Amino acid sequence: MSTPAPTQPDPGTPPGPTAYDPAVPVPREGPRGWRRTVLALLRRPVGVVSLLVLLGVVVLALFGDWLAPYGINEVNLDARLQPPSAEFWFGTDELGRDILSRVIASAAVSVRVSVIAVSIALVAGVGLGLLAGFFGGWLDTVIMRSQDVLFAFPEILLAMAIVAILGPGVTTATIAIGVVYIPVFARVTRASTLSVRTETYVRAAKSLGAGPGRQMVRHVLPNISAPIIVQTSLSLAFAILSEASLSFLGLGVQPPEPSWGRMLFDSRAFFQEAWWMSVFPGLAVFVTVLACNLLGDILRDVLDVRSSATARGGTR
Amino acid sequence: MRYVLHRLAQSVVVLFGVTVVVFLIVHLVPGDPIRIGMGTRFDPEIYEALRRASGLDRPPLEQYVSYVSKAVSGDLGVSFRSGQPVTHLLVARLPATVSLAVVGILIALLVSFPLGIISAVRNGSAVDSIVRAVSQLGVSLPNFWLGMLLILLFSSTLGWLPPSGYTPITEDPVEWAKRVIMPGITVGVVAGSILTRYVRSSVLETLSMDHVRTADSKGLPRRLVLSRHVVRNALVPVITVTGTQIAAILGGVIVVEVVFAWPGLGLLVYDAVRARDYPLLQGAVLLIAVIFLVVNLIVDLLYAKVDPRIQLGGDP
Repeated sequence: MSTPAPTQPDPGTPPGPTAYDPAVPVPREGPRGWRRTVLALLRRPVGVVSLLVLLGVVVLALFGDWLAPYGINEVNLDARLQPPSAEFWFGTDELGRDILSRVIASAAVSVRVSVIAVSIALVAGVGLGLLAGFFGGWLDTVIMRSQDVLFAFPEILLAMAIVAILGPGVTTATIAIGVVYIPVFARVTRASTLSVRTETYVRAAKSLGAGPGRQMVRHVLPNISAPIIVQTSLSLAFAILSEASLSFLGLGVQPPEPSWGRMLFDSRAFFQEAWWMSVFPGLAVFVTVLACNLLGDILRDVLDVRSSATARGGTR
Repeated sequence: MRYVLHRLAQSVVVLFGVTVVVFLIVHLVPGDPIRIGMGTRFDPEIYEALRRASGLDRPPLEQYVSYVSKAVSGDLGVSFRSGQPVTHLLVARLPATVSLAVVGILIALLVSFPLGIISAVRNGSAVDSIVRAVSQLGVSLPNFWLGMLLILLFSSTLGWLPPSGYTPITEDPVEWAKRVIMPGITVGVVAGSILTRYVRSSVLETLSMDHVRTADSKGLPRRLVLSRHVVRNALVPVITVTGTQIAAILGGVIVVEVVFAWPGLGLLVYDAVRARDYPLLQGAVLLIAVIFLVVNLIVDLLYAKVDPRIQLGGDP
């Protein structure tokens, strides 16, 4: 995946601290690398379909209000528990609300929660992993043992415990899911940092006067981005699943705001008479998660990341 | 031996961290946890009794030491809701969860090993493509939705199986089997899909090794090469993943138990979170985390025993 980084400054440049140029160690994935990655992704039909599905979900999340045929809380007691029809494509619920409109509106919550949660995990996890891998020693021990502790709880259990502390709600669910996925990012980042911190280009930067912060951000981070990107895609899938699980348990999104998990929770009371209430919201979760997972897998291939680098592949 | 000691010491450190996290659950609650836990059933006398029994009126450090020393002797406090000892409640729920988890693991193993091996041996064939696609679908399925679909099909539509509930295996094995099969499949499918992918890639990796080529080239029958040289070697790394999945199943059962009203630890955690019954939640979280830790420890030690290279490598 890499263009070997130049290990020597340009011979024409006089050596010494003044010669330090942050642009010298070329990141493995430079702009050209990115273009190559995107092109490789687009050459695979599954990659294109996954991207289109995710793009569709984002469009629904952003413009759902305009795209939904009915209002999300538009009660129509004359049309209660209607099966799918030309009028109501996904049928209606016990209050006559249109399931399709609610499935569309739920995309916004799902995208918001999963993106914010994964961002929390990404920033905190990558930061901790970089510090642990780069400095090693006691800092590494303290950080990684604390991550081991978080790892010792099944994800959904830890998320439920956090919800029990802070009370149910969409903000709590977001924080809980974010915290739960920090250790995965910390582990992946630490492992990758360890493998590049002794590379010549990092040592060269150090000898040319770059401080630890600069070395980490400018030289280590760009070169370990591939496994982090793959992990981000896979974590988005799990974050969507976790949000749906928490909302299904009544601990995430609260009514009247719709969410796929919450709709499934509500559908349980009408299981026998209205199968469409449980099939369509579940299908929405499934397709979105599948697209994230497929994209993650293809990115792993394209970026040539060994699967062992992305830890905890799919434990929930 | 050094590796075993190192791994044991590591587990003890993590266990210490786990007890701190579990202890903090009740202390991070904004406000008075007993008051929140009692909700509308507030009674000053019971409140005072619970406050004294839980020791929340003492300094935090003293409370922690007391909590851990009592926990070691099997005393995990008293449930805010029922007033019963937490340990009794946990022990009563354990058999249901263990039986569900065992069935889930068996289903996962029975599905993943043959499929993973066939898929790898016939790499690139139609069978391989189908197995890969199905396992990808399985990984992305929300387990609670799969459970709901199974109930919809086998209980509501076909009427073959009871939709929910539990009968102890000691009471009526046939009834137990009827009731465990759907939750068992639900738990097993996700774990099985993940395992299938690992078995496949592990077998593929072994197939390309020199000793397999040697065995092939000296004219050994293909079946013998596969059984003696490929599968046996390929299964070594799969042990670790199986262990991770066993641990993950513990997390998975929480939501599945709610779907099938299966009275195990998962349903207990769910009820505890909803009722804000903090001592019960603490006890259940501690128990599940300890099981999780022990399973992972056993798997790591087993792996080191099967693959001596691990012991020489130091930090795994």
